[in-house]
Amino acid sequence: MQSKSIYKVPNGKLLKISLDYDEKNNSITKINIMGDFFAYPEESIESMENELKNTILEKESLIKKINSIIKGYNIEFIGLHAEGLTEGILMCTK
Amino acid sequence: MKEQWRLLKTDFSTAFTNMAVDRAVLVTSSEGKVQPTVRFYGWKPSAISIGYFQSLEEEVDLDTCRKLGVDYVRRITGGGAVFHEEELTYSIVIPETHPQIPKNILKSYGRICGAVMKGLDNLGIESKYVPINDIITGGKKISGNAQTRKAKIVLQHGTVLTDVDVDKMFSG
Repeated sequence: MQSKSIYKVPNGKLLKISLDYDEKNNSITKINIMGDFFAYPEESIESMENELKNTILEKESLIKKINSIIKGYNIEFIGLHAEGLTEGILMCTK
Repeated sequence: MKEQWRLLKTDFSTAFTNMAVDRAVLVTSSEGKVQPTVRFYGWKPSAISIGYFQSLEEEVDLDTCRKLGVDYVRRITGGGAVFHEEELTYSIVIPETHPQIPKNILKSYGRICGAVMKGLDNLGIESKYVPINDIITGGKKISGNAQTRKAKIVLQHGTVLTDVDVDKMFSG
């Protein structure tokens, strides 16, 4: 299943998610994280997209996974945060 | 202590040259070959630059660009899409460890935007910094800014609008 979302992060930037997901397992098949936010280092978003594959589309699992990727790749967001990213992703499934 | 910086005035170039030169200054700076550098430049032909994380197809009407002869290019910095036409563009490239550059990224946006505002003030234009990356005057945006940090170097580039053709910007 393919879906897209556009989410204005509160006090942040405009996040655009393009999501392919497995409806049976409720998990991410492929994700593109786009928008006018800032992330340092920039290349880490590609790693984030790869690491999010197979993550369960459920709030707690997503936040936990995203926070562990942020920590692992030492990512600094400006205009975006783990909760905002989770919200944008889950909007694709509604 | 006095310190020497480099000023580059590269006049008008294409979108591709402009973004390549900014990157080249960053690379040479990371190799320790150049002083902190401030560059001023313009865009010919007019162009749209999009942020590192944006989708070209979603942000830019490519058919209209081709029709109007407007170039498009992706920046190495995040942030939004910018229509570059009537503006002065600047870039600053400086080591992260420079005493004038706050370690905190958001604070360093404020520091560099403050320098742009000082320039505007010298021209008699009162302006205000609106975090994260905008400068406004009279309630309207006059400058957008975007920063990347690579190889311990800060590159921030931004616009200072001198005019804007809103109809052209949103045409198509």
